[in-house]
This record gives sequence, structure tokens and C-alpha cells, in this order.
Amino acid sequence: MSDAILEVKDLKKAYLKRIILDKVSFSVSRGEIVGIVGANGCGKSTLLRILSGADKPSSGTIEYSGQNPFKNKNLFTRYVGYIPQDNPLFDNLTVIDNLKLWYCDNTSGIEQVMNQFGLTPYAGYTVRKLSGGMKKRLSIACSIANNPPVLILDEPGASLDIVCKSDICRYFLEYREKGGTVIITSHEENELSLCDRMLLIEDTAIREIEPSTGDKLMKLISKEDFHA
Amino acid sequence: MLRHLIYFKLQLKSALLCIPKLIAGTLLFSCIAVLIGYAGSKTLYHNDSLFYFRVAAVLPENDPLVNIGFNMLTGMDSLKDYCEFIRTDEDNAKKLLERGEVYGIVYIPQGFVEDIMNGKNTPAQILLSGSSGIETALFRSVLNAGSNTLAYVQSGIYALYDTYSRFGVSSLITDASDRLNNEYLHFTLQRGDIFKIETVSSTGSLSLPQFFVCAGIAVIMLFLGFTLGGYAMQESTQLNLMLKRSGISYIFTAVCKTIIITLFYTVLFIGLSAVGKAITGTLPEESGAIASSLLFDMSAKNIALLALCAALSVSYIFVVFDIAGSGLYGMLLLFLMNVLMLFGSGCIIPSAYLPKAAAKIGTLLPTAYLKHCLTALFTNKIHITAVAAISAYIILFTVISGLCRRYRAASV
Repeated sequence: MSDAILEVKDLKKAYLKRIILDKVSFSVSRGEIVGIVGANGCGKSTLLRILSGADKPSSGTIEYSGQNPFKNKNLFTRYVGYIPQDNPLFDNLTVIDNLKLWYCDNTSGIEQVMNQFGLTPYAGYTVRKLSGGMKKRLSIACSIANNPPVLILDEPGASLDIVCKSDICRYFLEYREKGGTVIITSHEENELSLCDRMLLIEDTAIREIEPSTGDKLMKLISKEDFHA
Repeated sequence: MLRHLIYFKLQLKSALLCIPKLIAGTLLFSCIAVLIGYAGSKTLYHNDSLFYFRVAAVLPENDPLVNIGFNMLTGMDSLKDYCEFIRTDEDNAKKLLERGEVYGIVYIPQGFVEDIMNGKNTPAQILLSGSSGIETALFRSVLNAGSNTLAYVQSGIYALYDTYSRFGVSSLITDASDRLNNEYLHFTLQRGDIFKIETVSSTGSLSLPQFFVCAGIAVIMLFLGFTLGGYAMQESTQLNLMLKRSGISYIFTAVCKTIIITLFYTVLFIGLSAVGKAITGTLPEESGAIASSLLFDMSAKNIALLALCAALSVSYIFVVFDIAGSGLYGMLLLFLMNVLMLFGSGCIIPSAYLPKAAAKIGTLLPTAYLKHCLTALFTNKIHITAVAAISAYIILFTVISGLCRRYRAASV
């Protein structure tokens, strides 16, 4: 696993006495798109928050390119672009204002990223006036300010229309082509179909499953709320 | 550090969008504060509204001594300020009592004064209203005090008569009685000799209007929180989480917001004061003098005090919203807390009128220190303990705000 960009070992997360994740170990290689699946409430978002440095594990280690980010917090922002399920944006400020905050070290990148995500015509719009799809694009644009090699997304396609979902999937592929690594949680077939590998969280543990979608995935997960 | 500066700038820009709401809120709450102040002063202090007793007096006809006594009684300074005796007949007196237009009826029997002079006790009948109101209780106390005084005077005269008779100097009784009566009258008419007048004001060293100006500023500062709900809750938990990831701590976000809105508040109240001064200049001389006594100097010290008070109010408003976790619950909680704290610390009605325990707890509330500092705007006497307590409260509220955000982010 010399090209592993992420290495997770014996990760455990508990809130008070409730164990969310236990003995979670896996690795992700450069250029992979990895899907994390599981029933609602199984701990997918918790795992992503820990991987992105937004939360701390109870025990266990994470390494990005062999370095422990909990010892040097800058590694998280250098290595990981994280987009939570709800868009982390200033709703009453403009698109350009939001980008300025995250691109403070790289102001020249603002114009480029606005062109890349089709945000240029909306630069002066306040975020609350944007559609759900545009907000998601802006969130992704904000998260890649430092050109991170790993992109972590928590259900990126949730509540978006089919065109927006398709745009986001196209972006994942472009990102991978440039050598980026994508880790996503999703219930969307079109997003899961892009995954090179798939990890299933079940009863606090994680295991690798064969990349699959539809009925096959349903059988693997076999949880009623996933069907819903 | 650059990101922190940009974040502060963005917060400033975001807060600027709140200015129309802040100004509208200030105007609205200023009106409410003026109304509360006016109603409060009218209720508690205006002589014509309460604590002025009207009493019906039913006197015997053709009794010149009773008439002289009644005229003397109604002319006494000590009674004129509090009582008005309405001379009427029995039927009309009862009607007045039933309609609540008088607090009681005094029936004076025929030969009442003559009997007192002769040492015979002929009781006067007093009929009080069945109302258990404070006015009736006070009137009863006034009557009791009056009858006690009369009893002391009578016992003095009788004692003199008995003593002089026993020692066989009855011929001196008339002279002695006259001298004793003169002493009684002297003390009755020269109340200053027996009553030392000491003014104890529930509003402290402030005049009543100044007290209500301070209370009004406190009310406006705290209730303006309603207009800040959107600003306080504009950052989602996810955004806070991302900010934390990028090195902008929860405490820093709380500090930024507090500083920015404190600046706005301070400028707003300086503006209000300037408007007040401008209006005062256009008023006639007498009204202008009264109005100018309600305005404080905009010295550097007063501006600093105002900023400190604003910082306390703002940090308190943000902590309430952060504890509530949503705009709607925040507003409800803010309303409840504001009412309790303003009452508790004597900003709505002076603490002297509150139950002792509540008044004691009230002195420790942030609003009590807020009131102290606002009072210092007029008195120029800064209480160091109040400034220290306010600073401690600001730090405490900001830390709690930060912890609430952290807790919410952890429990997403």
C-alpha cells in the first residue's frame, strides 16, 4: 500500500456510553473514489467528520501520507476538502464573499474556480438566492481552496435535481483524473456507480463489499430504512 | 491570521445588513420604554393618582364647636396633602362610599367636642370601605395614628387635672391646661420639630425621570435582541464546524459578533443622544432645561461606559440565542429572561418595591450591574465592582456562547 493516501487503524468513536464506530480500519489509495454506505444512523457522517478533522476519534489513528493530522492540524486543511451534508455557507453574503474567506491564501484561484463551477454569473448574488445545485457547487468550490488531494463529501447529491447530480458526478471524475481521491457517503445510484471501492458500515464495524448498486446493494445492506 | 481578519470583515458586512432592523427596533422599543416610564412614574409617584384619600364627613347640624373643630382639622397642613373631607349628609355619604368615591365616612355625634372638653368619651363612628386595597389599609393606618395622637393628648390633660387636684392646686389647672394645650398645638402646627424630613428615594441618586431614562436604555439594549435573532443564528452548525476546521474557533466567532454589534449599539446610542440634544435645543427654556437634565454628556468616559453596557447586553443576547439553538426559541427565551432580569434588578419598577429575597438576588443579575453603569452616566460615580462584574459577565457569556456552538457541532 505504498500509494495509500489515507490509512485508518482501529478507529473507535463513542458518545458517552454509546459506541458509534469500533475497530474501523481501512486504507484509501490515490486516485480512488471510495463509497461508504450503510443504513441511516450507522455512523457514516461521523466517520467522515473524523476523517476531515471536524471531530476527534475516541481512539485509533488516521494517517494522511504517513502523517498523523491530529498532531498537526494544518494537515487536515492541506489534505482534505470536506463538504458536509448541509452547505456550510454564509447565506446572507454573496458568492464572492464566501469564496474570499476560503481562498484568502490563494485569491488568484477565485476567478478560476468560479469559471470551473459556473459561478461567475452569480458572483454578486447572495447565497440564499441561489438554487440548491448552485449552493452545492459553491460548497465544493469553497472546500477545494487549498487544492486538497482528498475530497470528502457527505451525501453530496441529497435533495438536488438530476442535472445537478450529474454535474457533481462529472466533477468527481475530473477530480480523479487529476489524481484526486474522493470519499463519499451516498444513497444515490449515480454517485455510487462511480465508486472504485465500497465500504459498508454495519453494527459499528466496517467491511469492504463489492462495488454495487440497486437491488444488489440493498441485499448487502438489508436495512429497511435504506430501502426508503 | 488573514482568514481571521477576512472573517471579521465578512461579519461586519453581514451585521451592516441588520442596521435597518436595529434602527426600527430602537424606535419601537424607545416608544415602549417611554410608555413604561410614563406609566410607572404616574402610578408610583403622582399625587393625584393614588394615596390621596377622600373622606365623607357627616357632622351634626347647629353644633358650632364641631364646626370649628372640623374647619381646623381640614385646614391642617399635615392632612391637606393626603386627605380631602367632603361634608355631606348620611345618605349621600353612603352612596359615595358604595361608588368608591370616598374611602370612608366619619360620623361625628352631637356634642362631640364639648364632651372631649368635659372629659367624657363620646366615640365618633368611622365607616371604612370593604375594599382590601392598599389605599384602604393606608387610610386605616392614618386613622389609627390620628386616634392614638388624640388619646395621648387626652391622657395628658386628664393626668394634669388629676395631679393638680390631688396636690390641692386646682386653681392652677386652667393656666396649666392652657400651657399644655399650647404645647400640643405648637407641636401639631410646627411639624418640623417632631418630624425630621429625610428624603429616601428608591431611584437612588437619580431623579425619577433620569431613573427611567437609564431603565429605558437597559430595556432597549436587551429587547433589541429580537432584531438580532437572524444575525445571531445566521451561521449553521456545519459552517461553524468548517470555520473551526480552518482555525477560526467557536470563541473567536462569538467575540467577533459581540465586538461588531457592540460597536453598532454604541454608535446608535450616541446618535440617539445627539438627536435628543438637537431636539432639546428647539424646546422652550423651561422644558429645554428639564429635557437637558435627561441627557448625559458624551465624554470619552461616558462613551466607554456605554460601550461596556452595550457589550454586556450583546454578549447576553448572543448567549441566550446560542443556548436556545434557534431563532424562534431564542426570541421566546430572550423575552422571558429579559422580563425576569429587568424586574429582578429593578429596571422596570425600583427594587424597593420588590420582595426582599427577590431584590437581594436581583443585585447579582447582569442587569443590575448594567443599571449601575448606566446610572454612572448621570452621576459620574463609577462603581469599580460594577465594571469588574460586567467584564466578568461578558467573558462568561462569550465563553458559554462558544461552548454551546462547540456542543452543537459535536452533536451533529
